[in-house]
Amino acid sequence: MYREVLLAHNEQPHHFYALSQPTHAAHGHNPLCGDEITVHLRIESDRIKEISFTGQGCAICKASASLMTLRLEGLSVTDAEKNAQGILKWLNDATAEQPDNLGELEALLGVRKFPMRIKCATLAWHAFLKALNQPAISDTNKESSASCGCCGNGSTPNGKHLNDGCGCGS
Amino acid sequence: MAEATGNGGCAKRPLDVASIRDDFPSLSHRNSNGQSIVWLDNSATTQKPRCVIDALTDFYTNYNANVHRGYYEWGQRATEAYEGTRKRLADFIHADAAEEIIFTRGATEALNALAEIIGQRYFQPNDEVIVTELEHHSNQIPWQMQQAKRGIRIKGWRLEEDGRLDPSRLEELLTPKTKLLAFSHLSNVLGLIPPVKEIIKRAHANGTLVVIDAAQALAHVAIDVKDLDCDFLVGSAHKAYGPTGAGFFYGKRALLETLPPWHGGGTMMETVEIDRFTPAEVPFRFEAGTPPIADIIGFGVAIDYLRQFDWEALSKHEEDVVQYAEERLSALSFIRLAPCPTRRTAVVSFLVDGLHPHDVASLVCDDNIALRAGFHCCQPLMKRLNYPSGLVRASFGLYNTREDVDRLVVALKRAVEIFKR
Ligand SMILES: Cc1ncc(COP(=O)(O)O)c(C=O)c1O
Repeated sequence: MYREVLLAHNEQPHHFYALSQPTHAAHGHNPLCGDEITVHLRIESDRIKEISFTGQGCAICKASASLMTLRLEGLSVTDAEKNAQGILKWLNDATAEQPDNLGELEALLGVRKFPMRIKCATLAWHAFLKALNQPAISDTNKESSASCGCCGNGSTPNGKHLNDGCGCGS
Repeated sequence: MAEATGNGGCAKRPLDVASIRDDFPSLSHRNSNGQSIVWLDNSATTQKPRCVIDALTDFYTNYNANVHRGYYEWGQRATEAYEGTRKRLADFIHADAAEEIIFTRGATEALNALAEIIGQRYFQPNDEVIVTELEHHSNQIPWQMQQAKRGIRIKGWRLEEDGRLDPSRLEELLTPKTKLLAFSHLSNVLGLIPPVKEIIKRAHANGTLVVIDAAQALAHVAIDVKDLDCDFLVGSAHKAYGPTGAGFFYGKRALLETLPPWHGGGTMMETVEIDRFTPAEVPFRFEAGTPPIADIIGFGVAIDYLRQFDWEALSKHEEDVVQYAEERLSALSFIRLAPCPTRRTAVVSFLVDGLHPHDVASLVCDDNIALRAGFHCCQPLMKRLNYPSGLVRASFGLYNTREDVDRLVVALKRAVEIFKR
């Protein structure tokens, strides 16, 4: 399961920081293991101009998030969404066909054999889809969202969480 | 029914771990590299000795019948075997009478049942229930549900930094409104045994009822409910070498008599009319419907299995292995053990520097070692001791050996190497 690619991405994840001017952000949390990933997006003219993630998780979770940012950056919103859905289907369903041009993502193949760990691999992708479906961050609360790196729905303009149980840790 | 050799009173079987391991068919499994299984997830569930497995087969093959109903021989045999477990269990935990044992489908169900029936009878709005930060979710949520249902207030008994439960904190929490205190006899995360008897005494001095969660303790600690003087105590068969799907609660007879039934159905009633019923006597009042008969019979066989050994010899062996694990693990520079202010019992939890607990558990799988990683159903504890990603846990049973620990150490070193690359 721990292919070289995954170990490398875990050690030095790509796009592992908060965006300063995100247009969209969403938090993914696996309450059963404490893994949490926030995906930050800057969408311009229907394109994923910038994507990054913050949070903490196991090697599988972080490597998958890192691979995701590489795959999705620069795609149109529609393509990125389709892409993410395809990867999620592939990870969740052992009978699903392998998506085209998997590239390094193919390293996640081994995870599919461990149902306990599939959630680790899918967390960031779910957070990405959630971010897309969230209303864009308006200028007034942009700052608080960026500073706490939290879920869109948990943030208020003063940076406090509406929902204490959101567990984003900031 | 299949009987394990010996019982509480007979000459004891010597504690020969090799022969014990032979009793557990699943322990002989090997992975594709020929490595035998190292089962270090005993706190989640133990492996089963052949006599327990045989007892299930024997029941289904030779006398499968419902209990407390049949007029035929199988029905009687099934009832005798089922009630036999009640007697064994009462004897095992030193209850006054078999009727003080109520069968459930596990410790979780037992705690839910107790919360509901004690709540119904004893909880008034603004009453208080104390639970500790050590507790398994199944000893928290049922009380929280009572909070929502009956307007009681849950008070958390804060752990000290070193994981200790300090009884003087209890004194600060107890008020005239404190109806009940629930806590575990053995922590499934820290391997810690609180000063159970002292705590019970202090609670009782305040007129507070005490529920003991002995789900973990049952297979590792000698339990004497009379000596402890606890009001209620729960356990699960599957954590004590018995089948899943069977468990129990103990209650002091006088208290059980005051409690209403839980589920309605067959067996729990005496007379039924179209719009009313009268509840049955204790213990049947709390046992509605067809129980997991085979599993409860298997539970009795598991108790016999345990009791054929001298308890002290058994404890000594487990202590030795756990202590050895603690020594070997703490000698590794990359391991940080979770705190345990007392001697660790059955459980050693730890972190591996630079590795997420999940990754540790997955990596040692390759060496056919079964560990558990995560919150272990104890989120408040993890929060209190600041383990945001949980812990890795090795938990031991009577068949574990120092060799198991050695293999764990090798596997952990390998895991760390893989991440160093
Ligand atoms: C301390 C403790 N209490 C209760 C339980 C619940 O037991 P069961 O799942 O058998 O109902 C467990 C199981 O892990 C436990 O460790």
